[in-house]
Amino acid sequence: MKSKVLSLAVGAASLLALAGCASGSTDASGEFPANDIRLTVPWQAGGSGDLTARTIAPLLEDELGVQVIVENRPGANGSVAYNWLKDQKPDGYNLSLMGVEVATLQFQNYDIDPANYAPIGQGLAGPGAIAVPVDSPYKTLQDLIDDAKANPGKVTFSSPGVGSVWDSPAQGFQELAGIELTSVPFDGSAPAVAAAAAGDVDFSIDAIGTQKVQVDGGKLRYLAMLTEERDANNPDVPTAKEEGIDLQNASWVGIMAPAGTPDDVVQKLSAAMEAAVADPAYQKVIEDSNLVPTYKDSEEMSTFIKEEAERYGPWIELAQGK
Amino acid sequence: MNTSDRGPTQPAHLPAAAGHPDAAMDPDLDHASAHLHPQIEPLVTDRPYRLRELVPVALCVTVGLSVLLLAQNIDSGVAAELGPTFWPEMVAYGLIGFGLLLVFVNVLRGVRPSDIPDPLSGWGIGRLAGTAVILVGYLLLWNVLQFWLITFVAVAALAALYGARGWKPLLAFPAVVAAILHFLFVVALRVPL
Amino acid sequence: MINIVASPVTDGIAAVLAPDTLIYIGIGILIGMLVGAFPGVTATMAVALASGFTLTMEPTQGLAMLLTIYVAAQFGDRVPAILINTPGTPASISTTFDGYPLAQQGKAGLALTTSAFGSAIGMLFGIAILAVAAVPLSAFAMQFGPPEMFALVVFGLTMMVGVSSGRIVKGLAAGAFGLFLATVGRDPITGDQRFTLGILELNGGIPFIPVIIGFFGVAEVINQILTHRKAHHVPPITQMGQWMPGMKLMRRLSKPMGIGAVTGSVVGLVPAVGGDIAGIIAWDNAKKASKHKHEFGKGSLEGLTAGDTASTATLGGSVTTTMALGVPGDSVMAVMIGSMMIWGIQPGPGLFSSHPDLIASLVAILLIATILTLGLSLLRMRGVVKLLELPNHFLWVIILIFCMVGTYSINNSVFDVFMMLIFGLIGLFMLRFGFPAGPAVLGLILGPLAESNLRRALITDGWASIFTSPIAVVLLLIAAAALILPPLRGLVKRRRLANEGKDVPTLMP
Repeated sequence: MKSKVLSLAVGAASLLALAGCASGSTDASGEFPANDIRLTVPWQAGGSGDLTARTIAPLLEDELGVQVIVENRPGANGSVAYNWLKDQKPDGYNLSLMGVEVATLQFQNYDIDPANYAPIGQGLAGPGAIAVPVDSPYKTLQDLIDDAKANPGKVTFSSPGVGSVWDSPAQGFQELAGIELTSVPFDGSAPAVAAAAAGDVDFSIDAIGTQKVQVDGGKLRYLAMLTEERDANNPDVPTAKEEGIDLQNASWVGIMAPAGTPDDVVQKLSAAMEAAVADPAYQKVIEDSNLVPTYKDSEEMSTFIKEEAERYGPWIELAQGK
Repeated sequence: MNTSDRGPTQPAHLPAAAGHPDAAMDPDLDHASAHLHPQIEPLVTDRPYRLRELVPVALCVTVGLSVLLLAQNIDSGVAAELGPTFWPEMVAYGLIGFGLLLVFVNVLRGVRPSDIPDPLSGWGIGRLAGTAVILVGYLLLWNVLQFWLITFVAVAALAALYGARGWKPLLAFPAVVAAILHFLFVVALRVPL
Repeated sequence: MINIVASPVTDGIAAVLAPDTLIYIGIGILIGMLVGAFPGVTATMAVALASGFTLTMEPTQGLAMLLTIYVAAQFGDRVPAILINTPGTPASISTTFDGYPLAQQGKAGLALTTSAFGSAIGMLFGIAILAVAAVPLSAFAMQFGPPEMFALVVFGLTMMVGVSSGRIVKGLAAGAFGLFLATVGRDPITGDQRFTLGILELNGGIPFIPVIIGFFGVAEVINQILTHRKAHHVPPITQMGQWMPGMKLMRRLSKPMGIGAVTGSVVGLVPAVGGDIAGIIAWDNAKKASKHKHEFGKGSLEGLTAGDTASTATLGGSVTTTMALGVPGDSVMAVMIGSMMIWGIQPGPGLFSSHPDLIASLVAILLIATILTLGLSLLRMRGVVKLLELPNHFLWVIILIFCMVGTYSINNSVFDVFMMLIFGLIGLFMLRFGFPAGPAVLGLILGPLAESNLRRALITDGWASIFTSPIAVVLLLIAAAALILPPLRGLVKRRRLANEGKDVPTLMP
């Protein structure tokens, strides 16, 4: 009986809380935010995206003065969460993390349109690199290109999956270099990079930070960075641009709200996010995961997502053979 | 499926220990007795049981054919040695093949007595329908009403449906279940319910 | 020389024996056992949630907590598998094969204790391997590229015959159905939609845990409801029987435990393959080696211990691959890699040389966690078994509701719960028409691995890549032998016995 009383008490308390929520969200005149904010993670708990959410949530709480509750809704490349967010009330209390998939899923027969979302900002970037097994005959990017020209379709690379953030730039690489490569898609980045380290494929194209494990362990060697400037941690490795292939790519994670969220709410969230990204605690966690804390505001993000869609669209269609 | 036409020779569903509760207590004894009964069981050859085996045959073939049909819709621009349709089609042919094989194994020859399920009861079918209604209703009300409240109601309704009467099973039991689930999932694991 | 070697080892152990680390181990055990006992709430989920607050701890303490949850969940998940036929986590699928029949025979107590002993022994064996041979073995695991993985998975698929409990054709049909379910979603190589029927959620494939909860737990409950008769109410199981296994029994169980330990350790080393598959393979191996084959699947303590020993023995192997290769050995380890990177421990080929004390710490944490968990499991068994004394209607309600909430909590998805209920009905059909669920689950787990690795291997080097790999060829030969030999042997035996003639089955061994 004791627990029944207890549950009744809890029930009464949560009813009160519910009543509180209801009155809060209908109170339009009140200052945003007045209630708890829900931050959805479109990926499994435990990955680097999930980690970002769990690191940034307490910092956003400090900025906004309300609770930020992190929730995982993984499934179908993130589209389950994106689709869910689209149908939420655009009041700024329902947010979701996003990756490049928000811009690219539309090219793979998913019903995900970036126009349905209002970006809040970017939180991090994971710039990419091309790496080969340590004992690979390729010493420079040019060696690789030469070999691929001599043996079209014989040079293989591992990717985290068709249409993914690392498979697509490989299509761009083929276009720019005028070569034909063979993609061996794996189930995510970790096995894809490991396959290159074990010599199952000829090279890996992935985030610098993901390859770092195998590079430090003496199994992989960076061939070229897919960055504008040389990577500060690897000053000896040239960029692809220096080698004549003007290709840059980075994975990224941002936060977004449903389209139609009032502008002042977006601005407020965006400002809070900027402060959170600048926080040393956030910077340390992200840097320790071999990623780069990066901030873009709402407007920059909108343009950026559009550009990403324009960049990736043709690449994905190329990969799908259309 | 019909319970009334069960022949007099029909053995009941045999859980391994049904006959020998004492032997079941000691695993070593159990083995000793098991050795005395070799595995060859007589097959049940009554017509209704053999005809009933046509249901799985039909289902295997139907599922197999639907997979083959649906596989036609998979379009892929990528030319690869084994495309996206190879694996599902292989599996579908396997399913059809095993389904047809079942005709020889079970329909023509007979059914092992242990494969004949317990008969359905009218009570049971009604309860199953009730259970389905309550569970689907419960599921649809998640995220709409308070979790502990609908859990309490759903548990009480199910208990009543299964024949429980009195305040203990209809009030105390649902309260305990709702409280445990609320604390474990909503409070401790922070599941959004 | 000895001093140099010994000092990181003692440092590593000392770090674990600090009082606050021990407290975290204690908390981890409680969380893990609780989590394991709930169908649907997996160790992966518990570790992921815990990693949220272990990030601020010292690496040793954080690792202690996460690893302990992992260990304790492996013990906790056996309980629902034995008592209510629902695997607490996928690792205890094989536990249901014999554990539930044992409980139905009134031997739940004995089943729980032997299962706990088996799990502990498997764990200790896995830890021993981690301690002695982590580095050389990780080199072996590195040999497993797509062709080798494909061959290994084909070998795993031959287990379908073994887990069919004698109904081989129906077992294979169920297996084919499982393989088909695994193809729903996006093609692993080309990304094309397959059988998604326009349902967004199905793009990610059929969720695996809801299916096993549906097949095992819900199907069984629905069947009990359907066949229940009010008139002659069967009294619930009240007799728990013997608790502790005797010496004689333990001696008999040493063989399946040995088989389980070795199988589990080898399977654990292979990336992305975990305790669920190891348990099934070991169960089948033990059956082949046993003198009491016919008992398997009907309540064999040998089958129970073999499966449980194997699924815990994978832990040593998967920790080794995770730490030494940087490739997650299973889904729990995938979550742990994220946390470790924050602590500045970079799992990968360079780990054991840059952190020599880490192996010692890991081994110490796992040892302490295993021993404490074993003690706690044995203590609390009597209370747990009380659950079975509840009248049927309470038990049914608890199972149905807990399975629903547990399933929801995996992905916070109502869709998953619907899938679980649908697969409960499909499982009911299979139960009533004699299709075993084991092969279907095996197909669902192994199907994607088989298909994607075969096609990857073909992309890189064509069919040659498979036939030029010695490991792959050997594994495929073993798989062929596993399929062909038992029926042949059965045929020979039956020829010898054949005197009562005409009804000699030739299709079924």
